[in-house]
Amino acid sequence: MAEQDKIDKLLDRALGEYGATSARAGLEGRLLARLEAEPDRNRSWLWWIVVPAMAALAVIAVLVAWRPQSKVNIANVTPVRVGVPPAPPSTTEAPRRDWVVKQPSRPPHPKAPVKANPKRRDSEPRLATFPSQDSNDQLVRLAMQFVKAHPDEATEIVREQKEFREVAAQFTAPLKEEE
Amino acid sequence: MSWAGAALRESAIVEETESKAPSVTIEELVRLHAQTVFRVAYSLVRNHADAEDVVQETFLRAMKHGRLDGIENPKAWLSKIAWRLALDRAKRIPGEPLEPMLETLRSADDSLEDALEEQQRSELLRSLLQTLPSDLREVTVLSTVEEMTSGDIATVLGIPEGSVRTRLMRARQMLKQKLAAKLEKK
Repeated sequence: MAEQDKIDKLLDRALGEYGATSARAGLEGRLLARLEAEPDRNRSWLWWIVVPAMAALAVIAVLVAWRPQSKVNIANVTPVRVGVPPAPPSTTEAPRRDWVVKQPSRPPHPKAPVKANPKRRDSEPRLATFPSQDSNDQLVRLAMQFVKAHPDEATEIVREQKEFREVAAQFTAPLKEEE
Repeated sequence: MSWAGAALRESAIVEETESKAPSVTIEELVRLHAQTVFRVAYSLVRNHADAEDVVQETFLRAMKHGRLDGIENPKAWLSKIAWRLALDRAKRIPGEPLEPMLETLRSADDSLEDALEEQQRSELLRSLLQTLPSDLREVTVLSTVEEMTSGDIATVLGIPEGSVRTRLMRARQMLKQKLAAKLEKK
C-alpha cells in the first residue's frame, strides 16, 4: 500500500510539473503588438466603397423593375417645353423638332447608339425614355467586380443590410401607427 | 398592475440590458486566455518558442474569425485551435525537443538539484506518456493544464465529457502500472 501511495504521489507531482509552465514575461503585450501589426481586416473601409455601390445596384434594380413596358416611338411624340404654352397645332407647319433625336421609323436596334441632336438645349428636359445609361453601367460594373473579388464580404453586407431594414421597420412601424 | 404591463416592462429591461452588454474584443481574449492557450500548446510542443508561435497563430486566427460575441466558451474554443496547431507543429519537430534546463527554473530560489530532479521526473513522465495509446495520451496531456476542466477537454478533443473522465482513469491506471514496473527495475 505504501508503495502505491508513493507511486500516486510521484505521478501526481510529475503531472503537476508537466503542465505547470508559464510563458516568458510580456506574452500578452507581444501578442497584441503582433495582432495590431496585422493588416487592418475590419470592414470599415469596405463601407465607404461597397455601401454606395450596393445602394446604386439596388437603385438600378428598382429602375429596371419599374421601367414602363410599352415602347414609345419618340419620333412620333409631340415635344413638350416646360414653361412655354403649347403652340396651336398647324397643319401646314412642321412640328418643331430641333431637340428631338432623329430616329428611323422602325424601332431602334437595341444595340445601336443613340445620337444626340447637337441643337438640343440644356434647359429643355430630357425625355424619361432616354435616361442616360453610362453612369448606371459603370456602377453596375464596379459592383459586379466587387462581388466577384469579395463574395464573402458582399454576402455579409447584403445580409446586414437586410437585418438593418428589418430592425428599422420594427422601429418605424409604431411611428406610422401613431400617425 | 396587470401582468401584461409587467411582462412588457420586463422585456424592455431585458432588451436594455442586452443592448448594453459589452461586446468581446480580441484584446480581452488575449488578456484572459493567453496563458492558458500557451500551456495547451506547450503541453504538446514542449518548448517555449514553438508554443509562443502557436499562441500567436491561434489569436491571429481568432481575430480573422471576426464574430467573437457568439462564442460560448472562448477558452475552450481558443484551446481547440491551439491544440490543432500544436499537433501539426509537434509532428514537424524532429525527435523530442529538450529545453535547456534553465527554462525549467521557475524562480531564482530553485536550486540546480531541484531543477535536475524535476527534469528527470518530466522526462520520465514523457517517456511513459509516449507508451500510452494516443486517445489516452491526449486527455492526460490536456488534463495537466490547470485551467482545463473535463468539459473544456471534451470540447477541444470533440468527445463527450464522460469519455474524458473514463479515459483519464484508464490512463492513470496504465501510468501507475508502468511507473511501478520502472521502479521495480531500479
